[in-house]
Amino acid sequence: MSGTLLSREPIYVVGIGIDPYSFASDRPFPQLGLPAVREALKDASINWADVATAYVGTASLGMAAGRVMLQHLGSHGQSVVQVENASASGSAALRMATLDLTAGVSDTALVLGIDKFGKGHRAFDGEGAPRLSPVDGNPAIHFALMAETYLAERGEPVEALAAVAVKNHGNAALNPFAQFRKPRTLEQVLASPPVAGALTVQQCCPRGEGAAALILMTEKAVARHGIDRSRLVRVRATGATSELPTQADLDPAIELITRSTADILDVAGIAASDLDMVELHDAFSVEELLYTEAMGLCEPGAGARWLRNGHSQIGGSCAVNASGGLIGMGHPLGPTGVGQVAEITRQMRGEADGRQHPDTRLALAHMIGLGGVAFAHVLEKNIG
Amino acid sequence: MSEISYIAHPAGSGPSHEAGIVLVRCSNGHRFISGSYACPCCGGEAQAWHEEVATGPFTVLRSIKVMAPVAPWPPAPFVVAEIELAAGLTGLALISNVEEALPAGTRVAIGDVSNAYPLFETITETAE
Repeated sequence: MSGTLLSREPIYVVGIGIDPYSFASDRPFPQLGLPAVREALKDASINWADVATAYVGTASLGMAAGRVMLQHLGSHGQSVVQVENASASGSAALRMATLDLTAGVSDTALVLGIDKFGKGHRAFDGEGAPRLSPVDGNPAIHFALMAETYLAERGEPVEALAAVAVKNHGNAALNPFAQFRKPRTLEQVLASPPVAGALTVQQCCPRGEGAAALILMTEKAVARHGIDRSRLVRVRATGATSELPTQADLDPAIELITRSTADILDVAGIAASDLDMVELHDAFSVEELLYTEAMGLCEPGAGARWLRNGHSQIGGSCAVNASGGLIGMGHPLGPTGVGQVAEITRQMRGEADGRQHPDTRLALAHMIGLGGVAFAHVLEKNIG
Repeated sequence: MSEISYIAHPAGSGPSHEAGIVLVRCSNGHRFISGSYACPCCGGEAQAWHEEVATGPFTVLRSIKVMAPVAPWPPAPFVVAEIELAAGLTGLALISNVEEALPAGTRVAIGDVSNAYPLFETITETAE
C-alpha cells in the first residue's frame, strides 16, 4: 500500500497550527480554519503567498469549503484540493500533499483538517444495499461488540477498557488544544453513563469541531527559506489501504490495522519496537487495546497488560495517544489525523509542555475511516 | 446453522420476507446479505449470483445492550446480537422482547417482518 519516500527528496513538516477542538459552536468555519493556518504559517516563518498548494481534509463542511475559506488569506492562485475520507479525511489530505511534493509538482504545501459538527451525511445510508438492521455498521455498536469479545477472550475485567480512557483523559488534561481538559479516575470512567455493552460515555470520543494545519516543504524549499533544521520533522513514509475480506473469526478492522501498520513499517525500514510514539484511532477505548496488539507494539493478547505496566504512558517505552487521543483530545473528523501529526511534531521538537515524551525520534500516526480505509504516516525527527 | 433453501425471489426487494433472510451466493460460493452489487470477496458481479433464503433459527455469537441513542431508530435501550446466518456469514440483528444482552449460543428466530428491518425473537431450543 505504501510508496517509499526514503529514496526521494525529503519532505518535512515545518509548521503546525491547531485551533483547539471544542463542542459545537456558532463560529463560522473560517474562524476555525484560518487561525490554525495562520499559526502554522507563523510557525514555519513563511507567508501564505509562499504556499504553492493546499489540501483541505473535511468530512462535513460541504462543497468548496477549502477555497471559500482560504480566499480570506488572499488569492495567489494556489491549487486547492478538498479531500473527504470520513475520519481519515485529514490523513488523506496529508498523504496527497506528501505525494504532490514528492512528485516535484510543488515544493510547499498546506495541509488543513477542519470540520464543524453535524453537517455530514454518510453515503453508507444511501448505498441502496439492504441490511439486516439499521445499526449495521454503527461504530459504537461495532466496537462495543468487539469489547465484549476482547474481555471474554483475554479474561480481562471492564477496568481494562476504562484504563485506556483514564490514560487518555489524563494526557488531554495536559494538552491546551484538547476538547476535554479534565483527568478522570477509573471510578469516574466506569460510572459515566453507559453507551453500549461495556462502553461508557467517557470511553467514547466526543463529537465536536476544530481545525489543524501543517506546512510541508521539500528539502530545497527548506534551504531556500532558511528554515531552522533543528525543528524539522521528516515524513519518512506514507501509506493508504482499505479493508480486505477476512475469515469469520478475524474482524476486518483488525486485519486492516495489522496489514497497514506492517506495510508502512516495512516501507519505513523500521520495526514496531523502534517507535517512540504512536497516535492512533481510539474513538472507543477497546480500539487502543486491540490496535496496540495489531500494530505489534506488544504481544497478541497483551494490550491491557501492556497499558497497565505503563508502556504506553508518556515516559513509557512508546507513548500512545500522548495528545489525549480521540477520546480526550477529540475527534472532529477532518482535523483529527492532521492534529495527530501536529502533536508528534511538537513532541519531536521538545515543545509539548507538560506532556513531553522524552527522546521522541520515530513516531507513527495512524487513522482509520468509515467504510474501512486506513492511512498511516511514519514521522522522524530530523537529526541532519 | 440455519436451513438454506433456494427460492425465486426478486432481487433488491429487501433482506427479509416471511420465508427468511434473503442471501446471495456468488459463483465462488461466498454468501452475503441480499443487495450487494458485487462479491466483496472475489469481485464477482451480481449476475453470477444465486439467491438463497436463510430460514433460521439462528445462533447468537455475541450480543450487547445499547443504552444510548446511537442511531435514529430503534429508540434506546435495545438489544442487538451478531447472529450466524449461514456458514461464514454473520449479521447484526435487532432482538425484540428482551431487556438484556443474550448469552452466546442463544437461538433466535425471525419474528416481525412488517418493518423495514426484521426483528428477531429468542426461542427455547438450544444450540447443539
